[in-house]
Amino acid sequence: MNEGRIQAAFEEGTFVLKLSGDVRLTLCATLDQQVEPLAELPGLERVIVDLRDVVNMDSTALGFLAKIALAVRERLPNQPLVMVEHPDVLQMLEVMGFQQYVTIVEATGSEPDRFDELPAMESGEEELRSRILEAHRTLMQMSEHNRMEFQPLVELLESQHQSH
Amino acid sequence: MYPRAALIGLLDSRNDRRLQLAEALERLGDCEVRLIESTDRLPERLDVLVADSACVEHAQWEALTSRLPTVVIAEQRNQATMLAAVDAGAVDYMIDPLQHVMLLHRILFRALGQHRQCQAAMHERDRLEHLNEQLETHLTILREDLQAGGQIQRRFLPPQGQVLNGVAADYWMAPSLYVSGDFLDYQAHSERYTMFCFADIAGHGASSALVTVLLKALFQRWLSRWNARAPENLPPRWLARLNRELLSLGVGKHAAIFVGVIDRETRMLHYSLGAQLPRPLLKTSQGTCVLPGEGPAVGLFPDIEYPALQYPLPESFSLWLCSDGILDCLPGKGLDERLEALCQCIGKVDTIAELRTMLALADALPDDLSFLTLTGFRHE
Repeated sequence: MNEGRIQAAFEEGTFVLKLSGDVRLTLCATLDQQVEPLAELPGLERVIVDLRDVVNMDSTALGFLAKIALAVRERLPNQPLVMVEHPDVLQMLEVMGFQQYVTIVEATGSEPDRFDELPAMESGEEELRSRILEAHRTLMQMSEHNRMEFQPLVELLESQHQSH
Repeated sequence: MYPRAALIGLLDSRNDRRLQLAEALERLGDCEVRLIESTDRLPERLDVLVADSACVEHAQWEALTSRLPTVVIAEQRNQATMLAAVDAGAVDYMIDPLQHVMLLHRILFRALGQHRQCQAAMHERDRLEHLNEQLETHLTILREDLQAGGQIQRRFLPPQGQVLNGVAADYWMAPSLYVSGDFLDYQAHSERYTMFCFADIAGHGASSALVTVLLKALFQRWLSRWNARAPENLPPRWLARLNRELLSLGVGKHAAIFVGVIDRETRMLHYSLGAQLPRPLLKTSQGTCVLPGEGPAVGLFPDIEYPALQYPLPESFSLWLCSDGILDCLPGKGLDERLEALCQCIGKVDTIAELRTMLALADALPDDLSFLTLTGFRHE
């Protein structure tokens, strides 16, 4: 069993949520309380959700992502960017109806230069590409240091997750 | 080291030695020595006992050692006397103690330390046993509570094996715990329509089961108010309403859902759906196909318009709905492989019972699992 993991980081206006493995938050009913504080982070400019290492997510975890997308909708110029690699995860996002609320990017591989080979997007391709590169840099720099910035959410998510 | 100086009882037959021994022990620190005249009158609060083998009958040792950690002293080595004391539980012995006071002091403190550890462990064990009993009691109460909830939830389900306006309904529900986050219902409306609903509330357990109660109440109310006009509008309207209800409640629960109305006269299925996975499967003489259409989950995004979908039903059909708990029970690596396996299985079986046998469903399920089949119109 590929144990699920949730990490979060906040740096230079970018909030990154990285989920990996088999993420099941079935019996967790308190996650929603964490969404508002996230959306009200001072200096928040963009949200990136990295699902590239996710093999499976339950509907509660998907719902949590949807609530994040809704919470930042009015506040940020761009929709959250969701990076997906596994076709099952992509299908789940589509079935739930995420397309309207987040920008889904099918990203394969994690080498920065591979991001240049991203499929062409209909609009704002350059802008999107730079956002993705930036996201990648943020992910690469996700260290203990900047995880501390958002420790309450990380701790909550991780403790909730272990307790199921 | 300890909250107070250790209180050592000294039972010594030799008057010339005992004061010296007591003073020598006290000089080494951390202790106070009480001289004891008889084994019958031990002072209160003694921590450890030093007993001269000459003062104690063989039969008396046990009464002493069971009360206190006891060290035996003797002037000369006497195997039988020592054996009797050690057999009865004395922790150690010492010959000619005045010559080895420091050693005796150490032995006494070690015996005392072990005795205290032992007592602490026993105390801790008693505490844990008590806590365990409390936990067991609470667990039993919770289990009984949930079982009672599960019984009520089952009462909400429609009667099995009904034929409503030419459509036979069959279902099976297995909660992963005691109550289910899955919901299904079907009812006839007049002589013409069969309304049915199949929903999977995100998560499982009590919080999701509570939402199923709300669904039951809402559908009951909406159906009783339906004027039997424009059946094509009923499913999308119900989904939009339910979406609003769940969002306005603010309980953070969303659901995958399918609502359908089968019109007996026109043989048309009017339906709408949100985040239904696996998608509903329709089995006819032509084979098994996925019912087209999709919509977002209810209770997640505001102001959603749900699709009004239609599908003409043949003379003979069966419609299969499964909650996503089935995905954990299907062979195949990815989602597509599993969905394909489900399609294949349903192609080979006629009833839910046969499907369950084919999938060899275990008792302990990782998620709530439900099936609903609607079969028509061969019962006409």
